[in-house]
Amino acid sequence: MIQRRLQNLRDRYFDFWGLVSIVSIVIIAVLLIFPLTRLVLASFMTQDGTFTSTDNFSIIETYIEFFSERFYYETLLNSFYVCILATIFSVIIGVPVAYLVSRIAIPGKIFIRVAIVLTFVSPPFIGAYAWILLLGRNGVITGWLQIIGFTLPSLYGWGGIVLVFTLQSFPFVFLMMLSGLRSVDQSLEDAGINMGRSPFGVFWTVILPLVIPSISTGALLVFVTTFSDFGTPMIIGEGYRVLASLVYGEFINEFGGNPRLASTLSILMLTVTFGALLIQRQFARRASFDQETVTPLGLRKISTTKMVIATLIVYAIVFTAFLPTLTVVVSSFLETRGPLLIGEFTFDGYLTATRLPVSFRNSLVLVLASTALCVAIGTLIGYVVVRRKNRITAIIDTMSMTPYAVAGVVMGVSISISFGGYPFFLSGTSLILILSYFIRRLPYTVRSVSGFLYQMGPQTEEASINLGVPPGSTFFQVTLPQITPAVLSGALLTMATIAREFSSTVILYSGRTRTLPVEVFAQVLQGNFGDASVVGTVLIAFTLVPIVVLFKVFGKNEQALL
Amino acid sequence: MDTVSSTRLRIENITIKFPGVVAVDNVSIVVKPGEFFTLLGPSGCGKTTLLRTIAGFCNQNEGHIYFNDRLVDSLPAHQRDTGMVFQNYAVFPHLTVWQNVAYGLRARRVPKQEMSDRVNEALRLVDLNGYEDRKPSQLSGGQQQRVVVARAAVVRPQILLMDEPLANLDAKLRVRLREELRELQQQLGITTIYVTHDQDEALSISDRIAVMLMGKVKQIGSPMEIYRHPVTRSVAEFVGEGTFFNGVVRQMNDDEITIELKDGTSLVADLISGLVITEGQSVGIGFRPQDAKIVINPVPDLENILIGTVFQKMYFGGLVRYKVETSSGIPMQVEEYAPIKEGSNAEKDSINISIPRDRLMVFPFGVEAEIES
Repeated sequence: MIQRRLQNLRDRYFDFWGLVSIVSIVIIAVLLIFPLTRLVLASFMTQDGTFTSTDNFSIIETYIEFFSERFYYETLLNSFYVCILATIFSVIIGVPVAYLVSRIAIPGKIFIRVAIVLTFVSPPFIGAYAWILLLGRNGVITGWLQIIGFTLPSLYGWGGIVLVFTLQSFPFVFLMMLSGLRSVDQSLEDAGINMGRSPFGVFWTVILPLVIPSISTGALLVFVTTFSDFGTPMIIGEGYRVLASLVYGEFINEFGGNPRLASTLSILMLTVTFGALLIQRQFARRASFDQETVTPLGLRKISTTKMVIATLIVYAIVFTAFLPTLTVVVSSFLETRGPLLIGEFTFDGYLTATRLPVSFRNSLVLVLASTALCVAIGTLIGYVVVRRKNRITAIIDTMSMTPYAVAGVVMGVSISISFGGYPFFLSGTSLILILSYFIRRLPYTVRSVSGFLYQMGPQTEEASINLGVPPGSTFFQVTLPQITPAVLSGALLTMATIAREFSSTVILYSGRTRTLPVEVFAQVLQGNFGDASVVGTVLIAFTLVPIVVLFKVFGKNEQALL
Repeated sequence: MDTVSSTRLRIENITIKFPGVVAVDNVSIVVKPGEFFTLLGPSGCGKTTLLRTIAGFCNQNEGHIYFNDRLVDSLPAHQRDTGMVFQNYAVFPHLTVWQNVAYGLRARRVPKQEMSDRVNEALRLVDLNGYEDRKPSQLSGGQQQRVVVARAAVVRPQILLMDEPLANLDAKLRVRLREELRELQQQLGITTIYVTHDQDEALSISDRIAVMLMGKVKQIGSPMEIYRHPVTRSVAEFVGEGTFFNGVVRQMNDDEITIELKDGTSLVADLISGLVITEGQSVGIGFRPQDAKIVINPVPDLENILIGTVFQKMYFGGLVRYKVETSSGIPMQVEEYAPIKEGSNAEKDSINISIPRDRLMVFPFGVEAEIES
């Protein structure tokens, strides 16, 4: 009896895939659970490295400090304020624009797609400095307006942050809304109209309720990304401090940072992003319906006047969102003096940007290395979570999705305090960046592969085993050839996102491992907007390449970017 | 293709449990060498689970499986030497037709020349020569399923396993392919287990059938035994249509029993050997729609006459089906064949129905009792 149980256990876990499961769980434990645990511990640890509470020393000291000193807790309130505003505005803009784009034959939809994709691939803080180039104190548009005697309200501060956040994040809502609309059947709208509702009434009473879960997912993505972004507030906030920038500031402090406080702040960020994720999950589950879609919502016929108005609205919004990217690219070909753009066209920027080649090479090496790791490990994990369902792989499944909800800066801090010093001493190496990119972007390949495998079903693999080929060889002979498209598209997406990864890099990089986004940020902070534009343009191109391949070769659309 | 010496399959007290359900409950079956054996049952009855267990994709919790006299319980799926045909084809999309069929031979390291001969022979058998270099995406559903049949048969497996292989095809193709499958199986003589929920398919194609309901084998027998002499009402209802009601055994002798209905009518039925009943016991009774005769004027020597009112009449071309209700409220189905005149037996008409005693099915338990159990 016992022997048989052991035999069963061995059969279940200790083949090739058992080994994969165990290796995966070790990887996740080392790169995700261990750092996050270290983070929690670090936030409780007193200066001498113990957890003892004394009369004047509490292990939750930093937490008390945070919530009792205005200097600190204000950042949390500020974060909530700008992020919630940005989320609301993103919904207000994203929902109608997506509805118009999907229901009305707006001319030139390809431009809208391209613009949306470009806003996506730009590094997060590029919007901030591009808007400074346009609307800042010495901005181009500010200058034009001054000539006609008009003064804009100041761009700096929370207003500018909300503006930049909204414009670069509403595509999340836009894309989620589009995908939500795709699963609403035309017959539902027809039925509503047939029963005497106006098209607008049907939108409110039938269509909107059905896409609410999709919108809420988009809103969550906006909230979490903006909450984690500290580049934008640092560039455009001018003293308006948010939680993410406080984490960065406390960790990377020229006068010796305070890792304990940084850890405490990271835990708070983690709590907020995880909380937001859980609330949204709950909400979306309750609000969602199973839908059978035979014919998705089609185009609606409207009068020419309405059509013109709709087209103008959509183009105005999309163009505004695209403007920062355009500004960066155009200004990279203009002569500059510090933050001032001078109108002369030149290629010199590309030749004089001294650190461009180094940061490009760093980015290339880091992106390729970490993508390769993500693809190799992610494919195997994606396979075991779908095909070898057991308690271990269920844990792997949940854990491998966790990095989604961990902000880059939090990931950076936790990896840094875990592997930077004793006994690993990885601080400043390429390896620490690769590890951080790998664990953070692992979900892309896992999700891409597991989604595909769910659709593919196990029959061909079973057929192969049935014909006498053992499970291991079956994976290579039958499974891998079939999932290659999913693996490669996961890889391309991973490349694109790692290339623009900023917030964990900025915690973990050293002089030798500066990447393109870090270089842009450094140039912006130093006021060299010319070099920033040049490097930024290279970065945009770098990110765009895998995405173009993804769209052209694998027939994906912008939905894949979510 | 050579005929291989066929394998006997012995399934002994197999029980398969999933969390919260017993999918297969203490099933024992012996399939003779070369037999075409069908597992028939509604979806969720455990027939596919049993088939997958024979293939080695599921593990039984109890019981044993033998191929001839070899115990295969601990043999992993890729060493079981079965040939499986799947409902959704499972043709390898990245390989050509030829490569698909050769796949299992490669795994068995069959020499090149022999492999080529056997693949060509298999493709000829399923009528697919000329399609060697096509990719599966260039084939119709029926052709894909032929590829899979060839792929499974070409390795000369000990047992062919077919999991609803025709369920995804349209009705006409289904009928044609099942004739071909039967013919191929007869030619190859490979022991075959066929899973289906379609009783027409099961009755027409099989040597023997096991009817499975809720994880249990309710009856094993030839198609005619299953259809004519179902052991329970649920088997009778699953295998074909019919009218079912209750009665009480009033009298019985060596070859016949008399059953009294609620309204006092008496029916006489042949006593089938093996039927265990006693006088006074309540039993279920039933008959197939094609077995009742509509009689204009009941002649005295006609037995088992029931009187009812037509409440629905439906024309199907080859037959007319009447839904009739007796005066005591028993709903019945009766069919009349090759009708050529309109007007007879209209709705609301009263008609007489006679059921020959050898066509009356008797089940030892009361209908309600069985439903409850």
